[in-house]
Amino acid sequence: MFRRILSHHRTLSACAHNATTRSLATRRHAPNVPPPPSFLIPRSRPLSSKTSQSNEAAESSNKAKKDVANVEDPFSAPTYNIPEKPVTFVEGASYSVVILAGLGIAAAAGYAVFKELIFQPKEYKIYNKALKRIQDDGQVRVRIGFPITGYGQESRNRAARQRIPHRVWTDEEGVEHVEVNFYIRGPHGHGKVFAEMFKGTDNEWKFTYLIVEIRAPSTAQIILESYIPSYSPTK
Amino acid sequence: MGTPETSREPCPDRILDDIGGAFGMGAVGGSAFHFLKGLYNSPKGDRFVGATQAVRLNAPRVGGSFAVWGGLFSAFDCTMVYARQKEDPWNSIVAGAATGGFLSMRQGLGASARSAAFGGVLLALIEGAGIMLNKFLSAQQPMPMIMDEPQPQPPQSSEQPWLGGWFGGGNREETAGSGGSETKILESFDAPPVPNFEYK
Repeated sequence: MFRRILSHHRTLSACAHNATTRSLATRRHAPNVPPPPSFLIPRSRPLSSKTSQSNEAAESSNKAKKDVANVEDPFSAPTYNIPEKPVTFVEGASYSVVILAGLGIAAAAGYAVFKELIFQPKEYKIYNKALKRIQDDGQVRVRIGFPITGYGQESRNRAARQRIPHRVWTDEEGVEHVEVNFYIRGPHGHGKVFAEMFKGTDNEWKFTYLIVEIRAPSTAQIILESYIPSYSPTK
Repeated sequence: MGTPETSREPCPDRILDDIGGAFGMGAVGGSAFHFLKGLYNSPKGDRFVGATQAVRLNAPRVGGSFAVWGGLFSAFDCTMVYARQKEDPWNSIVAGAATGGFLSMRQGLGASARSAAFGGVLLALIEGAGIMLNKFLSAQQPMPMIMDEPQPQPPQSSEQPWLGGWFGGGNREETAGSGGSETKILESFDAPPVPNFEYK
């Protein structure tokens, strides 16, 4: 920036010099020589002054180029001289071990999620079956209205409402039983549901009991499902 | 009659509660994070002043982002509860995916789908961790050994020939039945009430 401003000042001083030379030429040639030679002589002199100006500009540009070249060197030299340090084999192996550990943790988390959600847990399976049975039943619908919502616990917390209280136990014949409790709510009332299902010999869930205890518009207790095993007197 | 019952339904009011709760979490967490970051990035003599300025600049913005996310998530969750008429972890997973997709919709459909998938996976991990933690905690509790309480009501006359039909197996069935309906006291589980067989 400063160099450009200095070069501008030099050009201004050169123009002033040119003006002074023109005035001297006219004074010398006027009393002695006729007009045509005076026309020819000042033409040649401004040309010489112009050539001197161009020479000075060339010199200044050469100096600027040299300065730019000199300025760039100190920054580029250390970049070329940085040595590359090789990574040892042990270090690389430890990095791969860390990567494999991370992938293992991710796989374990994914497996846990899939096991609990995609293969649905037992309490939610029984909760879904019981809620569908209740929503389709007319006795409950008459009392508390049609859009019946089911939730796990009476709370404003989302996690508490989504979690179903349950108990899983196995009887002496090896049959698996799952008991669940949940709440139902309709437009006109609410209630609590007690349900138990067991996995039969055909590997399907069957109701042991399904009791709906309606509390809100009027207290009532409805038994929708009650299992009676097949009776054979020979046993 | 309907007013006190509908006020117990959490869903429309829970959206506002979740916006406030999410803003609180974001503001407090953002304050702590940016205070430490400001302490680390400020020069030696001005660490506390730099940290204070960083908190003042960034904590409300972080709180606002959390409030937006929490409010949208709660709105989508309430929509799922209304549509499905049941509450289970799938509602949260779908709400997380919908929130992620909705917030990235301005950046195009591809980015929106990617954010939706990421949100769904994140909520699935959270719900899976919650279920696993609940199962672990419930498994840790020792089962209390309580003597079987006798039936408060005598069995009906109609049930006697059925029970009398099983000589040795009758006792087993009775114990199995009592096992199914015995009143073991648990924290998060209520035994079913003894049914009084009155129809309507």
